Amino acid sequence: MIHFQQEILLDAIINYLNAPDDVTVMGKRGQSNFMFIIYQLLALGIVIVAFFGFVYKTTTDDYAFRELYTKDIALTMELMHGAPGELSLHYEFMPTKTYGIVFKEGSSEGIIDSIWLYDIKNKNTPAFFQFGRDPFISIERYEAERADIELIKQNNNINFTEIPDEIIGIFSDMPRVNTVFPTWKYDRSFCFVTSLDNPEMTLLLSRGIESALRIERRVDRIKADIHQCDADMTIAFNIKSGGEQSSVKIVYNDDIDQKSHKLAWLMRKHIFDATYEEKTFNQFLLTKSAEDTPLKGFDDSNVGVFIEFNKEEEPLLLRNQAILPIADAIREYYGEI
Amino acid sequence: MQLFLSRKAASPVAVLQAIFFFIFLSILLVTGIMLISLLKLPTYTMHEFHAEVIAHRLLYSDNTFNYVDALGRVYPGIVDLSRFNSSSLDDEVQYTYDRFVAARFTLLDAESWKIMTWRDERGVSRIRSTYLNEYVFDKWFPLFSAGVKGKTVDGVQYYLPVQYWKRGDLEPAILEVTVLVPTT
Repeated sequence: MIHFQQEILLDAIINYLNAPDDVTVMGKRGQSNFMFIIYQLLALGIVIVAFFGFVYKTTTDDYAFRELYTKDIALTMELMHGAPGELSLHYEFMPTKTYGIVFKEGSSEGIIDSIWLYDIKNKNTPAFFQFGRDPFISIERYEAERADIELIKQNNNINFTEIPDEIIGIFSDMPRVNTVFPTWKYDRSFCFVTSLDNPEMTLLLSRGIESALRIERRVDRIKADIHQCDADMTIAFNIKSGGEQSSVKIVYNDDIDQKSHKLAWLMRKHIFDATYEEKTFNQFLLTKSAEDTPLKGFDDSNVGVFIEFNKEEEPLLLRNQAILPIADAIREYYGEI
Repeated sequence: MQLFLSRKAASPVAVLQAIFFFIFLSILLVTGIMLISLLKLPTYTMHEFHAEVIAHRLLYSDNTFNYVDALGRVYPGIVDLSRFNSSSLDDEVQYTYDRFVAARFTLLDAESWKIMTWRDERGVSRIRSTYLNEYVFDKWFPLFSAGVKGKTVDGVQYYLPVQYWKRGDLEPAILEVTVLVPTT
């Protein structure tokens, strides 16, 4: 029996090799063989395309990233279930990663216990992970084209909301540079500069920050000047009113080691935290210095940041909203928080 | 051996050769996929971390065996023996697929590190343990404790100093935490 099968297979191969003779005939049978070869080639083409598609997906990091994010969110959900009380959490992705997200039933109807993360362009291959459900906590089904979400646990409910556009990026991508300086309070110095036409406000702001830094830490070498001066850190201010949108614009010195970038990032984060609930500002811009920005002329090797507040409001009121966040950012920069 | 087939025999042979061709091609592709998977792993293995997260969820939750006072405040590290039973954990964490995670928490004596026991209403001595998916845990634990390479179950096991209420006083004890997750 086995011998017979081998014979048939061998005959099949020989017949396959003989097939071109039939094709040239182009009779009914020859046409049929020709079509058969075409179908085979098409099938082979589909299989090869599928194969290389798999190879492409495997060799690019896209699927791996989606899987990582899915597991991370699922484990975050596990911890949210276990955390007593209320909490909210911003979950942001890298700016280059735009995914859609679905919280839905795993295999049981009506029980939301799984996360699906998919590429917006290709929804066919979502990454999936399951988390443990607590019967005392209710979760709503949620689906969004953008996976940057805020997870909120409140009153035995877990809800999801999309993070507004103006907030995305504020809490991600902090420059990874070590600026911790254990003895900074003794030998660091700061210089506050006004770059435009409001020296009185600069003086008020710098004195306020100086006081905020001195409340708990003995910082003796703070200078406030209207010109650039020799210091570890130079912070320039401008407050203007009458713009179309209320905004905070932070420009940082384009130094090689990214320290200015880190300080500017921290300032934006702290100003955002302090003013978000009152909706004081609509925009929080962060850019590096260019030829036309006020930091032109600053020493490139120095840590330098320029902050511009743009709001139709009494500058003195605005001053109070700026002092503490900036002082907190400086303290965090030196590893005090 | 017949080298040339007749016209009538050509059609079934063509089908056979197509089957042979696709079987051969499938084996080739599967082998290729396996080789690529060996070269570059597209998955993240985080079984131990997963088990650690589940352990933290159970250790800090107000719905498990932690002592909760009249105001609803949770005291992680103080075990409420009245809630130290298997059903409390199964109520807290429910997976649609129960072979997703299994856990066991056992109370040990603080001095001798012997397993603590208690007597039920019929006077039968029982081990002071609480389980999540007990049936699954009993199947997985031998695989985990064997510690062989390539095992299908991974997890964490560690010991924590805790306290429990006994006649109005807090007594010291050791909590053995074992959380298992499948690797496949």
